[in-house]
Amino acid sequence: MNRTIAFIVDLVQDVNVLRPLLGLSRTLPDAEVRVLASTKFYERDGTGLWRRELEEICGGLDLPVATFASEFEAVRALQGRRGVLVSASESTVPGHATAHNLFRAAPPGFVKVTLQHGFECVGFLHNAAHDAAHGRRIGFAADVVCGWFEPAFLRSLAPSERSKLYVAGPPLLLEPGPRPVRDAAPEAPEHRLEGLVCENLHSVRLGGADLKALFLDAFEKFADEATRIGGTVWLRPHPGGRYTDRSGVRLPANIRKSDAPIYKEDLGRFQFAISAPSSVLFDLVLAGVPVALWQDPEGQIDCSNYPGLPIVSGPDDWFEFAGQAILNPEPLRATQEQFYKQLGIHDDVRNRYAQLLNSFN
Amino acid sequence: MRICVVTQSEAFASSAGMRIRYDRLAAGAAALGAEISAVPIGSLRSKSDLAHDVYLFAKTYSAHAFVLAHRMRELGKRTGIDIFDDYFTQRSDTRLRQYRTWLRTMGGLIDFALCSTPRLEGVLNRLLPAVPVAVIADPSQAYDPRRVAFFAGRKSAEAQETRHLRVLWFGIGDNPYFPVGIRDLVAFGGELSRLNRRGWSAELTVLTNLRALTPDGLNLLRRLPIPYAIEEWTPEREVAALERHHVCFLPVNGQDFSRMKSLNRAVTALVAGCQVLAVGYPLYEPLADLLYGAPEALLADLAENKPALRAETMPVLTERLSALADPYQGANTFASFLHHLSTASDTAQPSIGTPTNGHLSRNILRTLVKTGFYSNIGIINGAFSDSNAHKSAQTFGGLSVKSHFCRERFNFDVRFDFFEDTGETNILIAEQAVEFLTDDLRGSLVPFGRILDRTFYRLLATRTPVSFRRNLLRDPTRMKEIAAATELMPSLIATCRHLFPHVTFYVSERSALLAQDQEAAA
Repeated sequence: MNRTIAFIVDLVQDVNVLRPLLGLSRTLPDAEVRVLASTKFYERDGTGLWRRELEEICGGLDLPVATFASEFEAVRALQGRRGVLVSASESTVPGHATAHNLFRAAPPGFVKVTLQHGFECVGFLHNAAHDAAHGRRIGFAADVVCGWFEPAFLRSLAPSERSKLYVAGPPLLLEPGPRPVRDAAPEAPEHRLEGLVCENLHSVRLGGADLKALFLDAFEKFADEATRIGGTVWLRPHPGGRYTDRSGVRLPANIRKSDAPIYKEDLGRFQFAISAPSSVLFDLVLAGVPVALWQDPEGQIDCSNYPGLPIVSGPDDWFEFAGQAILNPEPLRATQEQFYKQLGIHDDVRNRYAQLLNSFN
Repeated sequence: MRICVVTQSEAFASSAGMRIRYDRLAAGAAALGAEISAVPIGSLRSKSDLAHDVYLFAKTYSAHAFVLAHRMRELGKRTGIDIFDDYFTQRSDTRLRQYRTWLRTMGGLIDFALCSTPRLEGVLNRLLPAVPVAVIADPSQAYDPRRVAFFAGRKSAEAQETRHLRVLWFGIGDNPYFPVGIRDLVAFGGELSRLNRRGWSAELTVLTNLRALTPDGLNLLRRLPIPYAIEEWTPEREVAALERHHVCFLPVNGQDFSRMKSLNRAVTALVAGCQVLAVGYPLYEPLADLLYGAPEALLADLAENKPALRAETMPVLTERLSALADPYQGANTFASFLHHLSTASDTAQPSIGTPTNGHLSRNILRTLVKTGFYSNIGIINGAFSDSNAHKSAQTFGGLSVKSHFCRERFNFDVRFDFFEDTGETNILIAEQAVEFLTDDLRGSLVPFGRILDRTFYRLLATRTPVSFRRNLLRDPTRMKEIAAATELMPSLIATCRHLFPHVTFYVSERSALLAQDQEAAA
């Protein structure tokens, strides 16, 4: 019997995390690759964007997508097989219940792997707001907990789960071609203004109306003025949260929306980016875009997981940072390089994931 | 004779347990000129629905059954209950209080009880000493010894040749109160690993209901020591699986609930030509010659192609089935039991809806003449009551009473409410129910106003026999209700009986914690 590498898709953001691994697993010998999407995934995907993405990715790899409505339906699809079962959203947190229950129920021939699915990630590396919302003892039903960084940097991994840790790296680094941090550095300053603002207002990090209002207020003032002087401001809602789409917030008229999956977005065209603490900052750092973290003026939002990266609050800060990023981005990129280096990310990410997926026969 | 089995729902009527028991019994009954059919309890709503001669309540643990049984009795029907699970003897288990109360209440309303095993007969004799009980074993399906011998022989030869066993576990995988089903399977899973020895290998199929296949259930199954596959149970899959598998695995634990079970799974397996490995509590002792208790013995016999179930042992199987599970025998026992009952009690004439006590006022007689029927049923609705019991009681001309705990918005006949400001009890009588009161009480009513579709009168507190303690349930929470129920419900029942002395009251309460562990009926 060949071994099976099965992927669970439940949250819409799973598609982004799993995409590079789907490609990798297709290149591994003697492996049958299966994709199991929950019915909840389709329900959550209000616009149909992520269904189309999943179909496109799996279509390109010649992988059929099976749907399951209950743990038993998924078990039925897996029983009689053995191999590895992978989830990008599994933990004891209620929002991860689908994959967690399926991991608990999975046929015994499968080794279950939970992936770290973001830079700050529940169970791996918490923001202070994660601690407040979910506590510090996050468990996994997985046999292997696959992280991005060395254990020292995964400060929120519960002691009971530490023995399960396997450090592979961010799946993003599996994408073809090198993505050095400073690749996109332009030769000379450009006389244009094009920036990206990312919102994750649904996140527990921005719980409470005050923080949301403060962020939106700063964004609106910045965007108004920046567009008036001929600049372009893009707003990118978190793909799973989509707060500004769903809550009916009135946005400035001249802004542009960045809704495409991040792997389809040409991040290199942005001269700078601003976001509250979020994994998108890590993608932007990798793409060489100067980034700043948004923090409320009173400093309630925890930015301590991003040491060295600049912090902005009110619209004046935003302009100051944007100016620096456009006129003199080099020091900002150097800081980001330092930030990246101290995370201890391995050079052989591809090899490490291949080893993990190949290990269980 | 037309016999009607009253079931809890349409779905239950097509469940495995129902089919095994009544479909097979019906085949036997037809030969005796009797007819057995099944209806869901919710479909019995009016007098015209009650056209059968005999009614048998099967797993209908609700107050609706009280109303129907009461009404059937008034109409001169024979009524009974059929018990095939023991939810009644676990006296220390509060969750099962409602079942104990149900059995005791039904015990006062029925003419007979059936059950599936002698052990259950013992339980019923103990709990309902006045009710005649008959044991009707779960009948086997149509049985042809040549066919069984053929399948058993073919499977045995295949197993001997391949030294690989396909093992089947089938049945309901869960129970809300007891660890049974897949819990038994996993608890006795170690026995299965003993089939993986001496050059033999084994694989297991688990055929069970979806409800049991929760993450917890599936997680438990991961502990099984041999390869397994899970399938959802359907009647067709059961037939196909029994045909395909060599061995059925029947683990039984020793708790009372499991020890009361019938032999039907072993009978079903044997009749399909499967060898049976029965471990744990010796429930299947009466079939012991045809089963295995140890995996090693099964493997040794299969290695010689001489298993317990084979052509030469068919006479034993035939003899056991005719003694233990003959559908004709079962139907015959049932019919003669009913016949015996009716000759024994012919002197007791049914009341046909006429109250037999002397409290009937001329107003009730007027109701009787006006509507054509009258019933002396009363339902007291508790915190979690049964809307069908409420509807039926009113349809049959009886009363539906709202207790303090009831939050339903029904059109009640009588309401016990709290005055929010004083915490005192307010007793309200709907105009439809006024005629049920005795003349002197009727004179003490004062107009109250409308609630939902009905006009109510208030009964002056001085006219009630018991006083309700004030403030007990002001701003009630469920915890306060549980604390208050023990004192409040008896007072409420006593008041109802005083106001309507000719009515028999039953309590409709689905909450295990609020169900009163005492005789509610008069």
